[in-house]
Amino acid sequence: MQLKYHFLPKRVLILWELFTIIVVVLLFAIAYLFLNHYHVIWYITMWLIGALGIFLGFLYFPLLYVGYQFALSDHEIILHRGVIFHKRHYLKRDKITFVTLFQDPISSVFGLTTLSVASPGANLLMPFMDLKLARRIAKELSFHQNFKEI
Amino acid sequence: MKKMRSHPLNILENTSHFLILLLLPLLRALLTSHNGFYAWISGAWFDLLVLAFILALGIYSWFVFVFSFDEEGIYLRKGIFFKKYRYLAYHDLTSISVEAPWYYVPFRAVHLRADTDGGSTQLSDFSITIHRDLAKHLLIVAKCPYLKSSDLKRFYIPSNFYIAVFSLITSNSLTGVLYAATSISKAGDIFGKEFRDRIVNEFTRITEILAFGLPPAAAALGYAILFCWLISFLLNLSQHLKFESARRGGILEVSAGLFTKRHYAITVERINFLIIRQSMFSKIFGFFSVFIHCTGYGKKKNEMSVLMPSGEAQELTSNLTMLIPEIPLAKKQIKPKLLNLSRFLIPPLTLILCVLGAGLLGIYFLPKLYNILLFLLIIIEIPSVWWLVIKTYAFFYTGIGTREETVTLYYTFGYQIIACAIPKEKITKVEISQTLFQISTKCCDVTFFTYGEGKRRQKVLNLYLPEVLKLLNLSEEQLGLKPRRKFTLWKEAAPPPKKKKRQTKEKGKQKSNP
Repeated sequence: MQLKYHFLPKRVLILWELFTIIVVVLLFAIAYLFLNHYHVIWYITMWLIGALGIFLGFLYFPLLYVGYQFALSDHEIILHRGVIFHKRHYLKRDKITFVTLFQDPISSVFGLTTLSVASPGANLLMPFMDLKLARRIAKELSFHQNFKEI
Repeated sequence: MKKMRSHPLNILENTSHFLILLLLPLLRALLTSHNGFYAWISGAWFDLLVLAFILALGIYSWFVFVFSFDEEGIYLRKGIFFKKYRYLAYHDLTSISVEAPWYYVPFRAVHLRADTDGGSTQLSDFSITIHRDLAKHLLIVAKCPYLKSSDLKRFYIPSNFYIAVFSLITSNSLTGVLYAATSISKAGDIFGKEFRDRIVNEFTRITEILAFGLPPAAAALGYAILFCWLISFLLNLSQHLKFESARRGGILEVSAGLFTKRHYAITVERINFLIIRQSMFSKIFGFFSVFIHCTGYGKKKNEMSVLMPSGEAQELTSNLTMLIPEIPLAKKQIKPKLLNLSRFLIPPLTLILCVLGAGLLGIYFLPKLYNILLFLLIIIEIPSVWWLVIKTYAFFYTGIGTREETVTLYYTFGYQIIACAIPKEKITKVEISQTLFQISTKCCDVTFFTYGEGKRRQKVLNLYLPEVLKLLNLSEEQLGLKPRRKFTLWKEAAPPPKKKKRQTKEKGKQKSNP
């Protein structure tokens, strides 16, 4: 059976877009409150914030979401991610020492977690993973190492 | 198991920093005091009390540090308030080192250090000062699991000329500056500020005499750099004279040192990779240096993990085969495409142009500083042009080769030309990265992360992506993966579609041959 790539859950993209909107609104508010209105610097700042919002909301985060893919083969964990600097990580499973799941209050609300795979000389960090999938992967990686179940 | 303690010199090691700072000024005050011993005591009693407390703590710390060893491993217990218990199995040890500083020789004491792949990246997992004979016995016991009585010992002993060449290549003024500055500062602490000022004034006077028409400040700076480089060269030379490496069974033994003798026993299966380093000059003259990476070897400050300090190219293969046949070098199988030559040349050309531009602008806007700016411009342009030469050579040199057991990387880093052989089992992660500008030419940078304490990586730049994936068995086809999503900037480097063979001729043949 051919292995396939997994992707991030759709709610991650929604979360990123919400974050972009919040950041842009905050920046607009700060610029509106603290800069002299209708001054050249005010106009430039507003345009820059708008451009940043468009760049993040319509280009960067969607490309980041689309480009983030991972797979588990018998011998490797494969992770593709990045927009400006795209990286492919191939981590050997027989070198894994331990696996950790991190959660903060915001990610736990959305059912997300960060999976960290540690090995001597290299680590792999996989943020914004679906919690159930991450638990399954962690269990499989630990089982492969004859560790006790998480 | 018999419990043992470290050498009593360990008490001084635990308290030496405080002793130097407290005891020597006290003694100096006693010697220079004109009011007698009792007058000195009445002024210095509190300092003496503190000194006594520090010594008592040092003695107690020595007393509670207990260790023992058997055929399996080393057990140790240490600590006064925060106790530490540790067990190190011999089969987990990557290296054991025994260092005999010249000032310990009358006391027959040596430093013994043992390290594993885990634990702190800065400190050894086991470090102790013990009697020379005990260290020898421990070394023999620890090596036992890797030695058979039938194993022959094979030696590599370079000549002093090669060691001098190695010291020449690896010396740098910065090490000498740090050493000289520390020595002068400590001398000032011990003997007083006047002594320190006297050294500096004498040096200034000598450089003025030897200026030969140069501005005094420039002459002083030049001689200071030269002097510091000389200190570094002499330190390196004394560290590596009497160098000898030997292979017996599963153990690689390295010993070196003129005044402070060092001996290392390295487990060969724990060697993570092998590096051959050259500079452009040593490449032209045909010299190389070989280093190994193994946890514990080369961990100390200013210590280098040398296997072969220096030698000629024709000796390289035969000596490496004798010492570490498990890590053979592979020939280059893939190299950068001509399309990517510009990627090698752009960084140094950019630097050259930026420096030139900044220099010319400075000369235009500050004509009064013409001489200094011109001097700085030339001084900074020389290493930039040299970097251009190195990067041009790098285009022809860079590549990757694989064999059954190892992957060999050929790349340059700064001004160094490097070949690195990594056993496949020691590669933990491979990272292939591309920037937006590299997509169109399918160019990529490959980083290999290797097994060991802390992060160790080797990066090879500007290779052709499809060739890299095929050579390292990382293409989607080889991994049995379904191709990734169609919409992506980062298209998988798919192999060209196989052409269907024409069947008409075959059908014709079949008809004629029923």
